Amino acid sequence: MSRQDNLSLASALRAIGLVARMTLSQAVRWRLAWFTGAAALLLIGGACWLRDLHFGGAELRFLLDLGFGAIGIGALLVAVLGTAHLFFGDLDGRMAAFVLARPVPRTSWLLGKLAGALGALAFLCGSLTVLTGALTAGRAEALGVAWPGLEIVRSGGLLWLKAAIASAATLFVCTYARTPLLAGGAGLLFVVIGHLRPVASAWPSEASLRGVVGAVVRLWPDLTRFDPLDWMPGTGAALAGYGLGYVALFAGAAALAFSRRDL
Amino acid sequence: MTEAGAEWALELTGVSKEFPVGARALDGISLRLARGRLAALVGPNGSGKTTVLKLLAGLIRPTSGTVRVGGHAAGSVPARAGLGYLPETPDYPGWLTGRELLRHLGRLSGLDGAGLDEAIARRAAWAGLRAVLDRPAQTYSSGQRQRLGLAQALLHDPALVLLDEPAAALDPGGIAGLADLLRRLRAERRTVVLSSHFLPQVEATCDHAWLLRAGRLIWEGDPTGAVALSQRFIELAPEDVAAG
Repeated sequence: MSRQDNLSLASALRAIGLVARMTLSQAVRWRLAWFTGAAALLLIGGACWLRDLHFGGAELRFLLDLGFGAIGIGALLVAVLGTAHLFFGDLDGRMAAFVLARPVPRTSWLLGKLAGALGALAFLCGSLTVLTGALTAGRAEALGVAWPGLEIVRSGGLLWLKAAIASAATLFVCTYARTPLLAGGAGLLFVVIGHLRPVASAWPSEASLRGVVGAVVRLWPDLTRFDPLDWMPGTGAALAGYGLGYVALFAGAAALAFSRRDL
Repeated sequence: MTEAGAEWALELTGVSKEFPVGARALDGISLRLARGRLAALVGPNGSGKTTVLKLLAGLIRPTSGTVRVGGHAAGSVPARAGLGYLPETPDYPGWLTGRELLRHLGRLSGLDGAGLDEAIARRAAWAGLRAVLDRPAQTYSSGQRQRLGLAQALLHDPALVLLDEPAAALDPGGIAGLADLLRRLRAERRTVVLSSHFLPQVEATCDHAWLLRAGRLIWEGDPTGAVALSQRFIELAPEDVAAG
């Protein structure tokens, strides 16, 4: 790699960092993210009052399921709607034009937006996971049972990975969609289909699953793999690779589509 | 001034642009400009002025033909390295102050440290924004927004400056300041292309003009020539002028 290439790479990476920092700052000021986070926080915090509702399971298990359910739904909503908001916010204002008339590669801008969105999701998942951990630690001590700290950290990571895939997929839709409504709607549809993926895979001999449709079904990411309840011991690295691979795949497709988009 | 052998600051060759909805914004247009000149794109609304500027800034791509800026393909990173661009009716995120915006865009242009602070101070002073620089940019008046747009376009001292309707929303003082700025840019041998409906200013400050109509170049030359630009504009068919 020549010195010129190194300089280009360094400036491209610097641009990604600058755009990511600005995007994170933009996300922190987005009211819906705070609303979603507050709703999840209320649900997790309110779990102590809901614990009598459990249906035969252990109380700690109920608290964890409720906590991770709230984190999962909140993170997916923010991933899809937030990514569309962050992308179109820059496009509909003039921010994208200000930035992309400068020597900033379009891929750097796009990856910066994605990195900022993933950073905001990490903050959301991380803070709610810490809250869930603190809540269950108190109950575990009161009940005299072991506190599953490692499981809690791992579950928070899994839910972030799932949200990261949804965010990258929504960003890909954003690069050719004309409105945030279409991008957000398609992103939510992506999430729903991703959760139905195992159902489709269960009938591999169905005629409708042959050919192109079958290939699409098989290529579609299976988001249920990231559900903390379905965790299979010993699959951590493979699952991280699966999730990050899909993030990279959607980011690459988004960069390709965005390189030719009129602004 | 002869342009023979000069290095072109920008060059459009046989450029057409169609948008997905089927509208043809430009129709086989060719134009070029030597470095250090100050040129205006004029014409009725919808004649293709903004499309030419966006093509030069690399924000859109031609359907056919080639666009080159400083010898590089428009839109490439080297072409954008020495470019300053003011879009039409600039708008800003509600949460960013003027200073934060300039700081962010300055860094993306390669400025940093004391050089960036000095550039922000200089441009803010020129734009008359020093007193409001730490307020959210969305609270600015439309004239202040336009001045902030001009400040960001000139922050990094670009060699080629593209200004889309720079006089829009400016008060008389702002328009006089803009005229001074254009004269100074010309004295510094920077290349400037602006679009404008304000023909007296074009005639007073620009040394070249392109008159567009329905995506075609119908005349180019010295705006203060034997037949002044404003007279040529009036001679356009009335339906063309009313089309916008």
